Amino acid sequence: MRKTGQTIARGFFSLVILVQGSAARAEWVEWLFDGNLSGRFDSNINRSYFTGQQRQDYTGMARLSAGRAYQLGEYTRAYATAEWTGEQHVNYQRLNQYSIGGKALLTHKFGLGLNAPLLSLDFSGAEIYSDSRLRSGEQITTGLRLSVWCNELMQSFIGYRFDDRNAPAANNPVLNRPNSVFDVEGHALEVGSILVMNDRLQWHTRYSHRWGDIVSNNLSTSVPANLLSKMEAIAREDAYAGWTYRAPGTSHIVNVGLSYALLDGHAATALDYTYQDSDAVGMAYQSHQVQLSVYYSY
Amino acid sequence: MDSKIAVLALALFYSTAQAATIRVKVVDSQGAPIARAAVYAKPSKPVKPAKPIAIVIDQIDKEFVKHLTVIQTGTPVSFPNHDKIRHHVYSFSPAKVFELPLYAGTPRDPVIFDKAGAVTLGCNIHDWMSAYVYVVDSPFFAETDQEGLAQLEVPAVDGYVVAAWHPDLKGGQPDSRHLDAMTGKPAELTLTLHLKPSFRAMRLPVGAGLAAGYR
Repeated sequence: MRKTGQTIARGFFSLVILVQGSAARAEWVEWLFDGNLSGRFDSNINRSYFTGQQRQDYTGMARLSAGRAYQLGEYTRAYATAEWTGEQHVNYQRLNQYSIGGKALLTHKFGLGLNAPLLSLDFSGAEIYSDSRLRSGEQITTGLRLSVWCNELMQSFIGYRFDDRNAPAANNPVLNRPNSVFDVEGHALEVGSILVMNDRLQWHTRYSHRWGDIVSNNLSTSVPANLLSKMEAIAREDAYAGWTYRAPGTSHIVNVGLSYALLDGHAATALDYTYQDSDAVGMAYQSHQVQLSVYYSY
Repeated sequence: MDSKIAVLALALFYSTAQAATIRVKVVDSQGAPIARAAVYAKPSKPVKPAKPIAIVIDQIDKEFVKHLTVIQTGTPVSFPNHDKIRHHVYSFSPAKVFELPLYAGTPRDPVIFDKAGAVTLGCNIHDWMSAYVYVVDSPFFAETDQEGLAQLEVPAVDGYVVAAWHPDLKGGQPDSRHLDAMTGKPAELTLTLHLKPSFRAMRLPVGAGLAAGYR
């Protein structure tokens, strides 16, 4: 984990300790049990630049989390949950993985009523156990989001996110270059909105601009010399073929979807489409993802 | 307490006068029946005010149990919280501005709704929770059933203004009709309400629809 991530993690854990101190005096509010099952199609799972090398995959995903919520004050809440996630891939089983971690979330509502802005600060950390040696490691993400219901039908939000992943087990060097391909760090600004369509159906859309490290795969056996100097790390791929590299770049990510509430709002099904366009070392990488999910909250 | 029981009690109160029945059908602009609309009859001349009966609006599983409650002006309403968590009930409506800060169980003092009009209820912890109280200056009121029908038992004296209201009413003004002096024969009338689509924040599990941490 690099310096920025360590600093953020330390800062956040200090905040969590403060929150826990307050939470000790706060009234216990409720237990949290959440989970979801998803199926996803990805048109370019290996994030390859070359159309002919792009590989498709279908992924089954599951997430379970449990924890507690604390009411710290009239308008402030804290959530702490332990989380397990799992992924099973149809075409590239070496991408199968599970992770174990935790998440902390602090929310503050600025006043009374639906239209009062809500500020949320979240931090999650997890250990990733992947069948791909390149990909196993730790990951933290943290973010800040300000959301407000503009009226009874639409909520808008703006936020910032930071992600930092570390893959210490990577050991497939190419040409004696650094091989920690999945030591990935990035920052993202996001805006989005939720539109209530009827009493069960909700439309959501989000745009993210991310800058930081991009990981891409190339199925060919040779590495062009002019690209090698631009890569921060490169390693022999153990899930597909060829080699995979990390380089600085930017991404534009657009997500649109529909959610349909079930079981009086305790459950929902959602259909999402995500388009990602990344640019690094002078090359552009596009992918399309379609995801169908079922969510449940106790 | 069910408003029908309140109407029966009030009908007994006015039993010294000859009773009459007003049958009201409430429909939308396409003629389809509107369920759970408030219907009330306001006498042309003031009647002796009846003592309002206390009303309860429960909260169970992070929802108000009743979406619409019709009451008479001056009615005390209590808001018992049956959940194991706290709620924070509020209203910004001009007819009754109030706030019950985070509480569990039943607040000691009920809220007195002392002004006629529509009151929108919310919970500041759970934004999807919403309900309405419609306060009328009359002891004669009811809610429509699934067929859009409501029946009011009133003293057969003088005339009445009969009106209907619904939370999704376009413009907020109830449709009303004047009835001449009641003769003891049941009066039947149809009121038409122009409704607008009205939805608000819905309850969704964490993670669905970008609702991170919103519950």
